Amino acid sequence: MWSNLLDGLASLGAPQAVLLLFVGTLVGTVVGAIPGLGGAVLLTLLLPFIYNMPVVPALALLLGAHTGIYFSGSITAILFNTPGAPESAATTFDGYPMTRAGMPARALGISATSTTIGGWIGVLLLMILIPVMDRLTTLFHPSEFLALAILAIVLIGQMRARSTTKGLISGVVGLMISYVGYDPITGVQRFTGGQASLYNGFDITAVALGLFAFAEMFRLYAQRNAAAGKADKVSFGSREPGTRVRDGIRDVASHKWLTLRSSVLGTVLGIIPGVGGVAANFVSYGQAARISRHPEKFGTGIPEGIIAPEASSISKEAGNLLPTVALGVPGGVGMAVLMSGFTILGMVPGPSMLEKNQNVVWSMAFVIGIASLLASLLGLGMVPGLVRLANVPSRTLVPFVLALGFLGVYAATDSLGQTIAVLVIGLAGWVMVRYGYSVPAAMIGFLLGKVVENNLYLVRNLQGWASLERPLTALMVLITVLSLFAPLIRRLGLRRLMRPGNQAVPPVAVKEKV
Amino acid sequence: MTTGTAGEAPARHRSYGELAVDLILVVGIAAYVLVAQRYPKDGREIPTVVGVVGLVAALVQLVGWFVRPMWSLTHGDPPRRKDIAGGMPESSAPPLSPERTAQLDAEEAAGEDYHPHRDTLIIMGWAVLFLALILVIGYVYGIPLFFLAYFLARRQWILAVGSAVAMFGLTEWVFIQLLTVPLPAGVLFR
Repeated sequence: MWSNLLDGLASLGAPQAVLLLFVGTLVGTVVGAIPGLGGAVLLTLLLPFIYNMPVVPALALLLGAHTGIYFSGSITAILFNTPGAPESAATTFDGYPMTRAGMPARALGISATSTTIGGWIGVLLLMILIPVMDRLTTLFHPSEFLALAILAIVLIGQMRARSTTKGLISGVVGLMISYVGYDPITGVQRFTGGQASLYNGFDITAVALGLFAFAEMFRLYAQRNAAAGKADKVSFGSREPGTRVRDGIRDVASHKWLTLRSSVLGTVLGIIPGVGGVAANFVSYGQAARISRHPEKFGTGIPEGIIAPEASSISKEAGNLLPTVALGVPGGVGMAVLMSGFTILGMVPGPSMLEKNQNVVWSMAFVIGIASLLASLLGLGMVPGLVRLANVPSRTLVPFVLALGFLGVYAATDSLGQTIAVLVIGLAGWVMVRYGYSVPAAMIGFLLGKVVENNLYLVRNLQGWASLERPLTALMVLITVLSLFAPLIRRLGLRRLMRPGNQAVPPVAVKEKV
Repeated sequence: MTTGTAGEAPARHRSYGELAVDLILVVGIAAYVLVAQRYPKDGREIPTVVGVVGLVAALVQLVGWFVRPMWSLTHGDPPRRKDIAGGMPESSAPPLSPERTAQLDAEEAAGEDYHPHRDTLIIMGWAVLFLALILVIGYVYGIPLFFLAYFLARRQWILAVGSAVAMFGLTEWVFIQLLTVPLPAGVLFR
């Protein structure tokens, strides 16, 4: 393990890796301040640029951008009560009140410091967990990989879809799209309609750009810019004690245990596929409020209310990395797009990645830590500029994203058919979002389609129904079934409690009027 | 199309568009399963299994329109407060602040020109036009022409010219010269 760790760290010392790490973090920090352009949108736009790049620099670019988005998303959350990314939503609860109290710089200092420390704690935890995961994956048979892939699709479907069936349908649609093209088992062309551009199926870049970037631009065009008109109302120039960035750093130093606890919690939650960034940050905020000595002050602009969600936001990404590289199951939406990057770079996420490319895994972990520090420093230095950028009307930005999308997909695929596909998939993605289907589940279904097909084929031929007798497989199948029917069970349970005969409080006696 | 009964929490707004999507899904997935039967046994097995699962889910989704007890399974709970003006569902968008929502509500009440569904169709139209330009006259001319047209339509003259020049530069010097991407010339110039 240590030789891989040192090798991974040394790979980041190469000039190209350093440059791309810096560029990626800068791009992520700048773009992340613009509502609607963060998260998966930016990552999909960067995918076409990593073709023919060496592995570590390419991943440094992607992960650097992915990490940079978080801090700048927090900037708009703190200053305008408008999270630049959904993961920053919990930061608004105390970040914005602190701004209104005249301490925006202090709030940003807390955010920057917590983010950096959270990132490094996540990396340290990975040092413990990666060797454990390495051993655990040797226990996995095809039935476990199949069950895990289905579980990931179901969990992520539940996270973002309006209903259970819609989440399931979204994942299935992704799986169906993945079977278009050449079948490696029989050599047959499936569902291509004779179109040569579909012989290799839909390209990952086209699907990712369509589902995330294009669909989001169609939605964003119709939405008003939430941060518009607020740039001039925030002032950072105060030099009064208690209002400066260094005061925010001191706040984090005086809440060491909270920072540590939130970071650990974020990492652990990040390991579980389907627990999104939003959920992780709210859970972290909730635990901080629950065990605080003065919970009534949460929401009024106290440092703890910013430390908890911010420390967990980056550490969650470190946690997300683990199932993505070790099991080939993305821990979240960002990791789903990152998996597309792995495929482009010729790497196969899963146990073989830990076996053959563990040094690359360590490089990625260190990128998260380094980029979190870099993003904090860059972000703090560029706050006034980022604030102005947040005010750019979305209707001005949309055509640029569309242009980059069309250029990028052709650069990646050399195919006009895929360029047409990106628009069609984008339109379908908008429909999915409009009517409550889960775009992340569709993307993950598409990514895991081959995993499901190959392992289902192996299970059928090698293990059969006996695979359900394996404890790990049975456990994952049980969790999948419970996840699917949990909302229904919960609702039936609530209905039973609300029936008149079950009332805990006796009905109030009504006095008759005389 | 709204649904709900007196005494219950208001049910979620559902639309004919949503019903149409559910119908299309049933038909589409059924067609997928049927097409899969043309392939050899090993090649059709997995798509058939996946397609059948999807078809069952889509049928349950469709039946849920007519069976109220199934709504929580098929159509979800009633919505929280309207986070995005225009009633569009959440995606990955950051929620609007209470002040901003109040401002938007006031603008709507004052009769401001705000039509999210129309605007969505407009941008989709622009995207289709963009692709058509690329297919007909190629990337190098299609992209700057699109930007010129888009921003001129919005009466942003300086941005129209500036963005057209910038995007021409990006296309020609970054993608073609630097990255050596062989961008197609379009049907007209082939």
